[in-house]
Amino acid sequence: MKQHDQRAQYREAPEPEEGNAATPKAVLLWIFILIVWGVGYYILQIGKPMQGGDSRSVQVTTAQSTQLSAKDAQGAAQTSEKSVAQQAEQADSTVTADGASIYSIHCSACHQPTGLGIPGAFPPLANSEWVQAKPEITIAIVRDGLVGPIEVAGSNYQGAMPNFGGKLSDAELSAVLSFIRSQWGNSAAAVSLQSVSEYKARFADRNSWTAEELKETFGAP
Amino acid sequence: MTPTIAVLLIITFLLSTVGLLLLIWSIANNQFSHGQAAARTIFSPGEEGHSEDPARPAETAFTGDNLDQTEALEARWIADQSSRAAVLTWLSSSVFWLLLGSVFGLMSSIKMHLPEFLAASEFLTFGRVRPVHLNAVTYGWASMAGIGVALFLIPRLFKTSLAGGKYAVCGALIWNIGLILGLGAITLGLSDGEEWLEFPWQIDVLFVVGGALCAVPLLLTAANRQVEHLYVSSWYLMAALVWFPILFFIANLPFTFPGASGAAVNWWFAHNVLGLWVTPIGIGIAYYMIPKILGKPIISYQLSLIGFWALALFYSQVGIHHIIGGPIPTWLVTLSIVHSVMMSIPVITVAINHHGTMMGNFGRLKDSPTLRFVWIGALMYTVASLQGSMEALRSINVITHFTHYTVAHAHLGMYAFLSFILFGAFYFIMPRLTNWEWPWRGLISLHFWLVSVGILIYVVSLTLSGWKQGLALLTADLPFMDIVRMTLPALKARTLCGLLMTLGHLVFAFHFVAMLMRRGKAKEQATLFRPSTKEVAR
Repeated sequence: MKQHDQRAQYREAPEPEEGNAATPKAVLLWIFILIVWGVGYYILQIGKPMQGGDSRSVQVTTAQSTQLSAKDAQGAAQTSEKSVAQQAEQADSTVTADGASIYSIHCSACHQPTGLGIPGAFPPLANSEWVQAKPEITIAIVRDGLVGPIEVAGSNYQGAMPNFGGKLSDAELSAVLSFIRSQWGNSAAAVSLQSVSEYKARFADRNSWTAEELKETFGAP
Repeated sequence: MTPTIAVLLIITFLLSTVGLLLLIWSIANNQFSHGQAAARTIFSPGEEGHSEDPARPAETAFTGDNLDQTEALEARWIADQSSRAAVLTWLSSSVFWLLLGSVFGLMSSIKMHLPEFLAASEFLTFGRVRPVHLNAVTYGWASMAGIGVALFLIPRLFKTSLAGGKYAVCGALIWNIGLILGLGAITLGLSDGEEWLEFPWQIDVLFVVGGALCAVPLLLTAANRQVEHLYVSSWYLMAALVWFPILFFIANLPFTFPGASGAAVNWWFAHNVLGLWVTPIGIGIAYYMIPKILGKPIISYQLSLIGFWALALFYSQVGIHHIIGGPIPTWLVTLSIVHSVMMSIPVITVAINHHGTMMGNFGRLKDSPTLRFVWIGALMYTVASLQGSMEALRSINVITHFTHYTVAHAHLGMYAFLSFILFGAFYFIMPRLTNWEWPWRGLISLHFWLVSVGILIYVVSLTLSGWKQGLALLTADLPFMDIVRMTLPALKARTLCGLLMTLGHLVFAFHFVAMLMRRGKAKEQATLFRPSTKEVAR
């Protein structure tokens, strides 16, 4: 069959052009809504922290936990004033000292949700003699950290446990310690808020412990 | 929020918003009325109302039997002939990189569920294969094909011949050398280590030079233009060709952005590659092809204006939503979220224009390969962009971030939107450059169905599984390995889809080469999905 040159150019429609349809009202309305939303979204952000991540300061969490313990001591909450109610609400969400959730946030990455740790790297908490030893030993390890070699449940570990004294309030420490001492077959007594306070009064600010120091100070687990 | 930063933030947002409002005000006051008379200079007399490219019935064919029609035909012919060498160089290269990129994509996909696959060689580890995939399809396939199509369209849009086409050919050679060296460097482990910016900066110089050699003929052509009114496609194409070099140059400056600022610049660039480079190219092509094939004007000039300027005003701050929760100032993230959501303005206006023009002509999708590919691409642009605006919101991002959901979204944009439109453009352009018709309609069909089914299952499976993965990752007591195992079916489905798409690309590449070699029978009619009525009658 015979082919014509330029046939593709012949058969095509003209170069495109634009029609004159007006902008739909709905589009204009949507633009208006978005601008209002955008301004509102900025306004909502005013006063929010400038940096990402967990922006609660140590002071805030500590203050909240003190408030909470004070409140607990009094028994009933004084909710007549709005500000008190709000503070209590905030305090509740951060420090009701839910040991399980504190564990899953701060501890489970290394010690695993199962409490079994990772062989050779992170010691298990389940059936650990250290976890079920005197409350002071567990408080010491979690609050001030631990470095150097340690034998746990028959295996040797060489690592560094960070200190959580700056991150967790006394109430949170006691909650998470009580939690790990009662999970995964562990059955040691709960760690009271009071023993945390006593420990704090006795050792104040200090560096990480070693297993040897723990044995010397508190006796073998 | 300190006063300085609040002021900066408000100024950025205000500038864009005031710009947009000014535009709307001007439109309302007829400042932009180009008048039908001006438009008619593009729309040659006697041609209006005729229907489309391939399916245009022979009896109503435009035969060039009056002076104006002959002139229009001549202009088109001259434009196509002038850009022939340059366009074919860029397009052929892009097809090669599409194949290479597909193979590497498939390899990375297999490694996701079969980690030992090809793990013995350091050159084929996931950390190198995946960036090769990304860079080959972005800078090899999408960018080269996009530039090729732009080189074809711009002389047509300006009704003139392409000036200095040989510079563009030269640019393609340098660009290809850059790709070979860059992908080689990644394979050897010499990567810059930032996603989308993996090519070492020394090699990036080649892309700057190659791109600049391409910009020269386009600028010369624009200066020689024979039309007064610039059609919307030319705004997008020219803008993309101005924006991309600036973005690429700034983001690749060595030793300039250390640490967290590097991350911010990294994602500012990576998202702008999508929004200010491939998006305008894709939209520009769709704005040309849809009315061209249908033979009717795009419905609204006003919407074109709002769509284009809203993209220009709001897009460049969008990228930081990739690092929500990252170590950068929260106000920057907030700015980026607001701008991401504002992006629904250009998306909706462009959607009304594209789909509104299609309204009543959907039957044509059965025939025209170009229209089918381009319209599906345009539709997926709407879907992917609205989805993207949603993903930028903190409440949704907290679920979708770091999951396969994002991967599905990225492929919806780069593949179902952009690559489909490019495929459609290939089917339109090649017969006009080679003076030959596509040899086999079956291969076009096969290509279409392979890639369509591939990307459909790809996006659906990864979107669903990614969402579930995101919810599971937020459940703290679920062990990580369980979540990984949960995604395995979707990862395997992805390999299957990757295989389908790669096969589709092989079919396409084979057909493309056959087209270049003018295989098959000489035909007078365009190759459509269905035999045209005339052929059936015969």
